[in-house]
Amino acid sequence: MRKIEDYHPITVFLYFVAVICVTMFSRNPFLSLISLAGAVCYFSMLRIPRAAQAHLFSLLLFLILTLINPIFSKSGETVLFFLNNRPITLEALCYGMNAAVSLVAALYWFRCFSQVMTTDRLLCVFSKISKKLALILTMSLRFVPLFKDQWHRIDDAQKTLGLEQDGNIVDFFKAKIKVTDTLITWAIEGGIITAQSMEARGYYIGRRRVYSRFRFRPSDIVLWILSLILAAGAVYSFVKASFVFYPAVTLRFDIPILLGYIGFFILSMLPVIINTQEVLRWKYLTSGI
Amino acid sequence: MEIFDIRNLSFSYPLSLRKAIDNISFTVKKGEFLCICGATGSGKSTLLRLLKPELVTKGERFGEILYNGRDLRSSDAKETALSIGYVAQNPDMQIVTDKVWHELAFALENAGMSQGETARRISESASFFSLDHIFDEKISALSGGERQLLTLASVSAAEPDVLLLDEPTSSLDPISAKNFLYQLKRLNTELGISVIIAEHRLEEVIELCDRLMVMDKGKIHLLSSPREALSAIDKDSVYFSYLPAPARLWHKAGKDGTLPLSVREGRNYLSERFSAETLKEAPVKKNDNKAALAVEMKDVFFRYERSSPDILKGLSLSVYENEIFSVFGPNASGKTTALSLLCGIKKPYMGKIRIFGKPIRDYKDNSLYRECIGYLPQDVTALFLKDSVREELKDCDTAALRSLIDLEAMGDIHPYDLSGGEQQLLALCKVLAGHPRLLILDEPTKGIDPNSKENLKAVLRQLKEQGMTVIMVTHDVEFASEVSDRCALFFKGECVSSGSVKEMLSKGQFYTTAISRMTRGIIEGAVTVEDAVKAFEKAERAKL
Repeated sequence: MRKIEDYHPITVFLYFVAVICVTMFSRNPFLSLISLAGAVCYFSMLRIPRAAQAHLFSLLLFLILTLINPIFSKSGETVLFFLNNRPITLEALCYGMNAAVSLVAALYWFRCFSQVMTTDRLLCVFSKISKKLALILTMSLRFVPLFKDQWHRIDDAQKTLGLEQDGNIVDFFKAKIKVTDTLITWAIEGGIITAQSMEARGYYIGRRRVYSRFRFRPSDIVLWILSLILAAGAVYSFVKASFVFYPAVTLRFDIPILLGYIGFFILSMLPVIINTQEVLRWKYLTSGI
Repeated sequence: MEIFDIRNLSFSYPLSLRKAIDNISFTVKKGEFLCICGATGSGKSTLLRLLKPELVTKGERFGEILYNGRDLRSSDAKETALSIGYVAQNPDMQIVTDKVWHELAFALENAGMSQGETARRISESASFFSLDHIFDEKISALSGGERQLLTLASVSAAEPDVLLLDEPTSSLDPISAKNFLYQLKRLNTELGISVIIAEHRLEEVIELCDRLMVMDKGKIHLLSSPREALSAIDKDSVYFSYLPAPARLWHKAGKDGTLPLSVREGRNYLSERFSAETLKEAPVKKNDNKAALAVEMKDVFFRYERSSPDILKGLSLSVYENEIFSVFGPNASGKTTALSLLCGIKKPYMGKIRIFGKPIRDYKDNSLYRECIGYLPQDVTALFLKDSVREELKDCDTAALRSLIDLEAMGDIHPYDLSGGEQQLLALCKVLAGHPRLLILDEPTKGIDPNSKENLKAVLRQLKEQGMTVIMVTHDVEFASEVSDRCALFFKGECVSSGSVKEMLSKGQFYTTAISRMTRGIIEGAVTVEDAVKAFEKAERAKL
């Protein structure tokens, strides 16, 4: 079973980069809408907790962004009505709506990204960029919760020594600064042990080779190539269609451009397609048990 | 074949007149399990560090260390980094990465091992130590025992020839410590890895080791088989308190026969001597306490978050004034949580807590901490804010404290550089400076050497004489049995039983002292070494 989340982190990362880049940098309502559709479908499939809140937030954001542009922009030739003697134009409204759709779509993609790219996966990607950076990130992931716990431990201990007075804001901050100061001493002291532990396990002996639990498979390469071709198609359509909002909404349309849109539709729907296919395959396989 | 051959080794730290290691010679055979014990500052850690080239500190070194027949200093760094494994005290700071699997792979990554080889080794290591169920976990979700076991697994994934361990169990509770040492022994017997371990909790390690080395001021005081070494440590020796209870009893009862190392051997030793008669200890006096209540907890419920499970489920507890009260119980039974409720750090969502008859809620504006409660947390370094012992004690003017801390000798030392026992005393000084009437201690004996324990016992007894009430949470039943008046057993957030120490420990099967387990059915009601010795003397007198 290989859902898109189970592909190699770099493949998944590249996929997200391709989709999010096209979504954010193209000013074409077709591409934005396709992207939004794909993102919302994938988002719903991931069953992220508190999804309803996210949807509501996106809707509000969409409305606000759509309305802000026509209020401030006077460009465009089709006047719908006047508000406080300012013309509200159809073109400005369209522009605002397009910007809102692409921003909301990007937001949904980022939500999916943060759900799919767990720390392990992100570190795998980072380790390809820089081994040291990846190690620093791993260590911070380890030490941030540790320091937080110790901060509370010191704070509690100091409270029982009567260091903190109730109600006095100056004393309160003084006490917290002292606690943080102690934490830093403690952390430096601990840092020596950490350094020795790293050295004892041969950190300096030679070239580090980062171990990764993720395997690169042929299907990863297929997904790479597919993502690149489809994203390139989307860029082609965006450039050729040369969508212009002002002074009037104009666009060009022909078969290659249409193919580019279809390609981007496939790209946006790729997670949904792959995961649905896997679910169906799973159903088929389990039916034989 | 020797793995280590140490010849006339001396070492002194820079700016120090005293030699940390003073002309030591010994050998360690391949596959041997050597235990080093000694007081803090006796040179155990320094010796272990000298055997690990990556950790050698600055200082003057004389003599030779041969590793597998070659000078350690000329050995290949790539080889020794993996083949000599080192585990230190504090598991929290030794762990570098955020996930269990990554920590296991860390040393192998450093060695530039291939993906396939690394995968094999970390899987093998995880299954050997039964860490497979936490393989994908974050480190922050592990218990202290699991973390220390992980450091051992991580070092052994590198397939070392020898393991050096510097007091690895000092921050663990006895059950996790036992498990850790047991796994270490498995490495030793099943894989033939040599082990050199510095340890002062001899109860557990004595049955596992082949030889015991006692170090004193940088010199080898004793080096022989455990039984011989323990027999050679006499009643007046400074190391007498290091002995496990059965061995102490053997020394005090006149040293006949062979020294018993374990409870099982101790039982045989006793039943040989007292085959016919059963020694009766004086019946336990019923403790009819007429003192006022110092602490009263009634049906206390507590949980950390609204949706998390209850940590305390209807806990009820009474502690009388001027008694020393110990709380036992397994990990996560709510002991430490109960203490933090008593200190007012956390608040129960239901139930009543009264301190000296007054509800804890009515202590306003820090009055709980002014001349009422003193709290010593598990990690006492949390109490230290200053750069030296002298500054730390600046505002503490109590004359009585002078007896605890030798300001002349230690005044300029950074609190973090003190030994575990000294840190404990310094922390106690800080807490006592607030003139508390109720002292609350969380695991006061964790990580301190036996002599410091004796010291702490004396301090607690003295405080009790001065009218102090003490509540402590501890895993150290031996320690509690000698100082406390009453005790309680916690389980799953409840106090399942409480009573006088004698009563509780002579009933208990697992939460009891080695002496109680040893003398059960032979000497009734003996809990401490002193009890057993008394019974012995009585029997001798009866014979005459």
